[in-house]
Amino acid sequence: MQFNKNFIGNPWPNKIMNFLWGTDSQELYLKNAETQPTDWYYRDRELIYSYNEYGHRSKNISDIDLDNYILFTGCSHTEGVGLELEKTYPYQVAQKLGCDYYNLGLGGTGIDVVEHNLIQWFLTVQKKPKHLFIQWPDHSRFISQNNNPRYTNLVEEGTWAKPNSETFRFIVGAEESGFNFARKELYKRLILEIANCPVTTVGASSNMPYDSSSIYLFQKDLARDLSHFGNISHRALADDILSSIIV
Amino acid sequence: MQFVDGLMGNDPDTGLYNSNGHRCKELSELNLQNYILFVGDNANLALDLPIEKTYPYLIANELKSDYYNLSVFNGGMDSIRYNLVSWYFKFKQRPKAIIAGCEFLNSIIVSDTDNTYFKSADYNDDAIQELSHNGNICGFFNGRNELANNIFYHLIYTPIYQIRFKEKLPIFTSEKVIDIKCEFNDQVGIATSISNEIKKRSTQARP
Repeated sequence: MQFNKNFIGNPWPNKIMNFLWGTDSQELYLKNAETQPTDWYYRDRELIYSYNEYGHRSKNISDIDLDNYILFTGCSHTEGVGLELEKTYPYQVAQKLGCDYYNLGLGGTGIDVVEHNLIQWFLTVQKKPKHLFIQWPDHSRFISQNNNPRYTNLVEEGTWAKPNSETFRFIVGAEESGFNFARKELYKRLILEIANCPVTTVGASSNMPYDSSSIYLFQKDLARDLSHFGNISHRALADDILSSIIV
Repeated sequence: MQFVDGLMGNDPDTGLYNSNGHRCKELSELNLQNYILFVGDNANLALDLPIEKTYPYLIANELKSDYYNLSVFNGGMDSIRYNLVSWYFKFKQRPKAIIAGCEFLNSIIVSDTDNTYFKSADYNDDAIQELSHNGNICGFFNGRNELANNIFYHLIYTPIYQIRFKEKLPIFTSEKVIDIKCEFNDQVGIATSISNEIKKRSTQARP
């Protein structure tokens, strides 16, 4: 990750790509294709990742209808890793509600990035969203910065850290000491304090639960990377969100 | 620690704090048209002294200004970020100056699964010391401070005066911040240095 002006975003702003680093790489795709049936949905389908000036999978803020928009944030589930844009739950919810949307979702990031980008959003964009959807990532993730002052990039850390590394031991210690319980509550409280708009919390069933009122993304199928949740899963989440906010 | 009016404060039971858990007058009595905002931790609290002998009181008195002290004992960057962001979103009336003083920037706040309490971690506990050590090595604290400073940079346009104690980490890392070296616990010396610097700069700013 990196700072793209005031926001944290992917280090490939204004790029259009067919594959990503990590689970949805071209190399893994070709490997996965060998194990899938001949009619696999993704076999001959082009998947486009289009990133804006901040490295977010979204239109630029200047192109958003700020009088009629909803805001999403979260990790790779919300960014839609392994999914066509039209199949992601943010796209589907916005379509059904007949409004524009912005997606702050960033793969591999944690609750610190969610909080950071939301604060920056409310500082930068004066018009409030009609609704804010926060998909809180696994609370053990965090952004680290190397001690080398010349190394300016922000590194996503999480349970994928090497066992017995300082990072891994830090994550275990943060869990056992109650540090993570404090962090996640502080981040949540601050956002609810400043958001001044309706907020819905979304949880991914693969992560630690965030709060009891969350609407969950359950695994019903798999995305192109055979790791993230697929089209049917996102459709179901979009339907659940819509039924919860439309009276 | 407690949360009142969207701000994080110290435990109120000690009798040292106002109803928000801050070592200053009540929020409702603050003159929002003419005030200085103090942010930080133990350094700004000087709990072993009567409030009239602490540098926040002395500086505000010298500058004929009201003040509010958002500092939380051992709150670290998490409490500083929380309170500053919340304050700036809550109050449109900006302070004349922010004065920052911090003893343990990398302090850790802990809680339980149901968040029935919030408190600073006990550094006598070996597990907390190891957590702190690993957090340093793996870059967690650097990352936390970097993210917070990126927010502060875009949030705060008020002049920031930062008291720099020997071997203590600064809250603010921006070049916009005015750093002033001071001796820890020298309340009068700190008050004089900061007041003089603020007076000097406000005089320079006049046409």
